[in-house]
Amino acid sequence: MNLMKEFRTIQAAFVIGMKQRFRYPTWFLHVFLGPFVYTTTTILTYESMMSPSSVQSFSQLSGGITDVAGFVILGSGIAQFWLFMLWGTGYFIENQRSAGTLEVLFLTPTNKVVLLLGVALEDFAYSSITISIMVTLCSLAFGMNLNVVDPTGLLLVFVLTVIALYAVGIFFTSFFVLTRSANLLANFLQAPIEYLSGMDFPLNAIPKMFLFFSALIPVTFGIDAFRKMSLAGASLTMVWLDVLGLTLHIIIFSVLGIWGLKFAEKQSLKKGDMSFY
Amino acid sequence: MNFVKELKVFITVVKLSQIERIRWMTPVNFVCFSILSPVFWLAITTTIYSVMAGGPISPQTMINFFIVAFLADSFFRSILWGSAVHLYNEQVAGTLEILYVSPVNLYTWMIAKSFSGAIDALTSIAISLPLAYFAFGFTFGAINGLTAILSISLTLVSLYSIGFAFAGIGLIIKQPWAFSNTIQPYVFLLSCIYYPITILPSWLQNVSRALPTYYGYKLARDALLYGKGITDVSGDLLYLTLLTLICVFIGLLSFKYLDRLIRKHGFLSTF
Repeated sequence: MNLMKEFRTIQAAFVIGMKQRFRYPTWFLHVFLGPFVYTTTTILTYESMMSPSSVQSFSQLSGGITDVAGFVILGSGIAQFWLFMLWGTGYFIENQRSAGTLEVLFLTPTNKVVLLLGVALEDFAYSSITISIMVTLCSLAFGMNLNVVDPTGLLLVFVLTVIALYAVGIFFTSFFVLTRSANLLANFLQAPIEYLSGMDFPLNAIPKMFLFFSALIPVTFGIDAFRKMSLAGASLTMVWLDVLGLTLHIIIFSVLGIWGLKFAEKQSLKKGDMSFY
Repeated sequence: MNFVKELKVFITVVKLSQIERIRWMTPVNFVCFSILSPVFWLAITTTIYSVMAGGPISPQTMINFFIVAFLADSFFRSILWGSAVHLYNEQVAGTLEILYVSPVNLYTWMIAKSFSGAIDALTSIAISLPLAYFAFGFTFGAINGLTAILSISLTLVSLYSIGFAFAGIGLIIKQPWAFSNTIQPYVFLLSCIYYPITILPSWLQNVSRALPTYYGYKLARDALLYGKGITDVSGDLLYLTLLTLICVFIGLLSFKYLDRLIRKHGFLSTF
């Protein structure tokens, strides 16, 4: 492996991705303010039911968290990372198909996993900007009472969550292109994942029979651990189950993603029909 | 204007749009997008209300409050993701210029497309209603049919008139998806689908009151949940009528202006 060459691949993928983002200013209003408006709507939905007894009911379900706005803001933040991943890294190869460059991509002498790392890095950098805007604006508008006792552990949970998300992204990119139903799948997956991962409410509020499906989504563990460590003063050892879940997801989805990508590449070279719909 | 010819165009366009819709609606797509998707979207909000149980307002009251507006919003979503992209879809398919030079009144074509979108929205409501009843305990209150028909009709005319403006804008900015994605969160926030208007700061309440969607959803609730008669909601109905007239005027005028602009600068088929 030529490290310099791989680095240049990552760099090129990053730069091209960023240039494309800023090529379409019509998206700016949605991308930079949309998450803030969506999160505000969710917080106002909670506020429409707000009373001391309802906050108590919320606190019981959320493991002692009483800061409803903070709970929603953090959940939305992680959820936005998920959505950016789904339509960015997850959709990357499908976009090549639409652009007519999919087979050219598979024929280029670059490591596709390394290329996708560049795409994921760009995705993360761009989504970080928009999520920071959302978190800042929402915190100013509604307030957020952080209670962090283990900042290092919190950082580790965040890093694990992001890695798990992009491992899923690499898996999705090959899954979408192999099923030829990227748009349908990406559109459909939004609502079930938002519900099953507890992005907008405590996970204890959903029927127990759904919890198995919740455990299949890495973002579920990330959101849970992040909220507990940021708002309820939990330490890393108190969220060990979430950390374990994230680690398992990283391993499983990385293996599946790399295998899927190689399989898609092989299929493309063997059958030559990967660019067809 | 030959009305028989326009009627034929109208019927043909509606028929074609519905055939396209049926072709797309495979069993898997039907289950995913007509059953599971609405159930999950409804479940997200209804769970939020349930989590906040114990206060003076019962979760079921808010669930009913939300579901009426959510179902009524199907029409707006059909505009945002339908009317706004009809002309753009022709552009992508390479048939926009053919449509422009064909001896068809473009307004008739657009009205037919909007009508087809309204059929889709009605179908979606018809499927979602029993789901809302069985999964979330949704029930209508004392229904006032006359108020419901009048308010829904006015809302539809105002919304589909806005669709005309959206279609022109979508064609000019060449990114109608960006436009629809941008508009949607603000409509959710300001139309008070999830909460009463009193939750918003007073300056935002004034913005909400300038939107036909706010009055449309409020009147739908008044008619379908609280059984209010026309005299009870006369003030809101008057506002909605006024907004509808403004929307029709703005919609048709802006579509005409944008249409001329497109023809003049010759960027019909270019991206």
